[in-house]
Amino acid sequence: MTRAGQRSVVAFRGDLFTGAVTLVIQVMLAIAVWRTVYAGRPPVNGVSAETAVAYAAIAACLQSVLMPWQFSSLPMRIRNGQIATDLTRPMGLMIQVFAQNLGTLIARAPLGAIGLAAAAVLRALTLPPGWPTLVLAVVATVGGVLVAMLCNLIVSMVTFWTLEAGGPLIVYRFGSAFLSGSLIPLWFMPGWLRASIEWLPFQAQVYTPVSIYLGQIHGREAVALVGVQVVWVVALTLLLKAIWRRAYHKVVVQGG
Amino acid sequence: MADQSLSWFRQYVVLERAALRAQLQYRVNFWTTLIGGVAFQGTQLLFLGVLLAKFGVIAGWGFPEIAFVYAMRLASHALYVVPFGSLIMADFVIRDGEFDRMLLRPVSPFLQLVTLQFRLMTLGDALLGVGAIIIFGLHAPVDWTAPKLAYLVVAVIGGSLVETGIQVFFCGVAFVSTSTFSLRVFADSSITQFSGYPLTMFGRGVFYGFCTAFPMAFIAYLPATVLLGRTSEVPLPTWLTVASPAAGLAVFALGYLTFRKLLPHYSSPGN
Amino acid sequence: MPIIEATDLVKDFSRPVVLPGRFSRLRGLFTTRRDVTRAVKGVSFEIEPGELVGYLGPNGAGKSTTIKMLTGILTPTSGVCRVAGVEPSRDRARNARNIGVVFGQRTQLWYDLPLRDSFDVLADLYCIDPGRYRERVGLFTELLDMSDFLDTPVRSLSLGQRMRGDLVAAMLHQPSILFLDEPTVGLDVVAKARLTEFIAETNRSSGTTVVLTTHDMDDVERLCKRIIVIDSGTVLYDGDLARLKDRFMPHRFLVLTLAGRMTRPTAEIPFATEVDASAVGAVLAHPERSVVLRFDPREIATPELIALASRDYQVEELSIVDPRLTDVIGKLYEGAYA
Repeated sequence: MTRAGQRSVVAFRGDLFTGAVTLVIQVMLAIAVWRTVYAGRPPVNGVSAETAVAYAAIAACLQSVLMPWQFSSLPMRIRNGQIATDLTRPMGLMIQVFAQNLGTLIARAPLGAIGLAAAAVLRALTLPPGWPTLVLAVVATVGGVLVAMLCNLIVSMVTFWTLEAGGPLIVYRFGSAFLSGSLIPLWFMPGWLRASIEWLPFQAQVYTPVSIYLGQIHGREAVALVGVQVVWVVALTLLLKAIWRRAYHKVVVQGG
Repeated sequence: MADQSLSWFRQYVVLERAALRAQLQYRVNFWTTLIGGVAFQGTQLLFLGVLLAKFGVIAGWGFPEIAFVYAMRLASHALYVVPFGSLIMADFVIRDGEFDRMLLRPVSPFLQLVTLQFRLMTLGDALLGVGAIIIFGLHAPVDWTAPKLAYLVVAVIGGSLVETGIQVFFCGVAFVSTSTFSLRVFADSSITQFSGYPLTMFGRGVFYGFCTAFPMAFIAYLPATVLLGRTSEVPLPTWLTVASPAAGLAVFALGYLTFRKLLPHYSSPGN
Repeated sequence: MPIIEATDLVKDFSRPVVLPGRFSRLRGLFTTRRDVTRAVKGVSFEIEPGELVGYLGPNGAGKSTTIKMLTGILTPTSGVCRVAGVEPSRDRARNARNIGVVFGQRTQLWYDLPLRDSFDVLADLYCIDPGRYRERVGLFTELLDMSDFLDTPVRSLSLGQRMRGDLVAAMLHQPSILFLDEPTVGLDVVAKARLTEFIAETNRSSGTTVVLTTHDMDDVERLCKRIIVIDSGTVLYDGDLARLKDRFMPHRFLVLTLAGRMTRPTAEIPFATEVDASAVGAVLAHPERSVVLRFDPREIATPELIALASRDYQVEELSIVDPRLTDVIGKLYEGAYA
């Protein structure tokens, strides 16, 4: 009789249909909530109702694509011992895992597209104010994706040190959903909260690209945020390498 | 060859004890699973908190009211998941054919599904539910009297029966379909996401949907309107809103009937 | 008064037709077209108390399906079955108390608990009197040599140990009927022998009716006087094992190992046909100098044939081989004598 843990991994993997339906419901709910909350008000914090609603819908879709249930195949490889042979080619493995993650992300892209389609049907989407904004938004999205992938990988490394990674991973999953700004844009957060979040890499994942796209952040400020993304990509890559070295050491030298 | 049988309760105790002993073999880190469970619900609440800190009200409901409804749902959820949490494993057991062995014993298969696992992680949900209802109950704009408290208890029990009934219904469906696990996850996440919101804000059609096809409204929202004195907002006769906790019995009965009715369709896959 | 009665049992399985493709799951939820397979097409038989019956058939024949109907796991599509006077699909719990079941491929024990704990739980669930329970566990532990692993978790047991555990679990409540589905599959020779001896002894001494489903012909020959053979959902044969052989494969084989070079006999031996060595199914020690003769003992007595063969051949060694049950059954499946 297979253990409950194994089962949940198998169950959550790749059920795109359910994922799509869940996302659509989430998008519909977000749109309804934000429209109700605004209910005929003038712009709050300089943000109009349309922008807030569009943000909620787009951010939910982006977050869903960035956050699959399985962050990488690492935990599974570690559990079944395959990692031992994998580590004979350490650099190759890292790239391989990264490529797999990218693949997963791409596979989930249709999910996001369906969510966006639902938002469009509900007339929640808005177009960016101009071509330059769109270009910058695309650049920011790539940046956000990179940051997200790096974060996911780093967090999945925790499996090298403990098999009971379930708790921390779930905390990461939902914590980053909040901190990335996918639930609430940073504009509406109380000052102290906003300030603390701005120091973390998560807001670079969703908040940056979406707020640039909507033109809420523009010009110098927008470019600066993209710059922050670049800084995070570099910093996280270095961090990943450092952790990877230690994990390698642990497995190969200590036989962990 | 004994012809008597144990009472349901005694059978439950025997099986639950075995499940507990089996679970204790595994070194599950209690705290990480507890925090994991809390994280999910916690972020929802955090979202609502930040949103309402900025916007004050949503559809006329302020944070104290919304948090109260959310807490009611958490309490109902805890009351379902601690005793009946094993039911979500039913899909696997039925699909693998492991269910065979349950049919070979002189014990109700439903009871065996319920006692399949002792889910320590649900204690996190329990703490969350109890904590939330106490904290947000105290802050809710309700003039607490003994009858109101009694109604709250009945409402939470009713809500848990609704959720249990839905899960039992899926167990029945599992005998004839393979997609039930996804449906469960979907139902659970829907309930979690919509909890806390005054369900009438989505339009009358959607609201009636939440009263019939997917009876979520009875879990926390409707009883809450009674305690908060907001029954006028509900497009239902007042007596029905007040009687909402009774829906739990109806949903559970329906779910269990579906289970019994579809059980003969079990096809025992595998050899 | 038969203790097991099956009358025109039919079982259909219906599966939704799911076309492969991108949204197969989604379409699967909505499709109304169903594929119906009739696994059991009207099976009837009666088993008297105390019998030890072999229930045989190739994979997919409907064996397990029939057993599952008799044990209450599946509900018959039509037809009736009665076990100890109870209809399993109507009164599942009561039926469960009257029978003991062992499925060789799956355990019924609690996977994570020590073996002993499984017995304890079952004793509670079946309301076995504590004194009697202790007695029986003690008895079985001794008979099946289980004292070494009574406290080992079931998931750590070897196949042979687990099988013994399952057998005891099935018998703790003294059922009058035992259903054993492939109880010796995967066991080594010694374990197999021990288990089959135990089954035979149980049937002999306590008169427990045993229905044995198996592919293992050795077990069948050792244990069963009566066999029921099923294929493609219908009963092909129901009767004595001995009669089966007589009816379908009355021949025996005389295997001669010749001294020196093979020499063709000058005359044909009456009532004997030379056949290929493969007909015997055993590995010949010296295939290049062996002759296999098939004969019907009703036409010519075995000693007579031996005498004739010794006269015509220079025989170094000889042996008599009876047809293997596998071959007999194989013939049956082929419908050669349908």
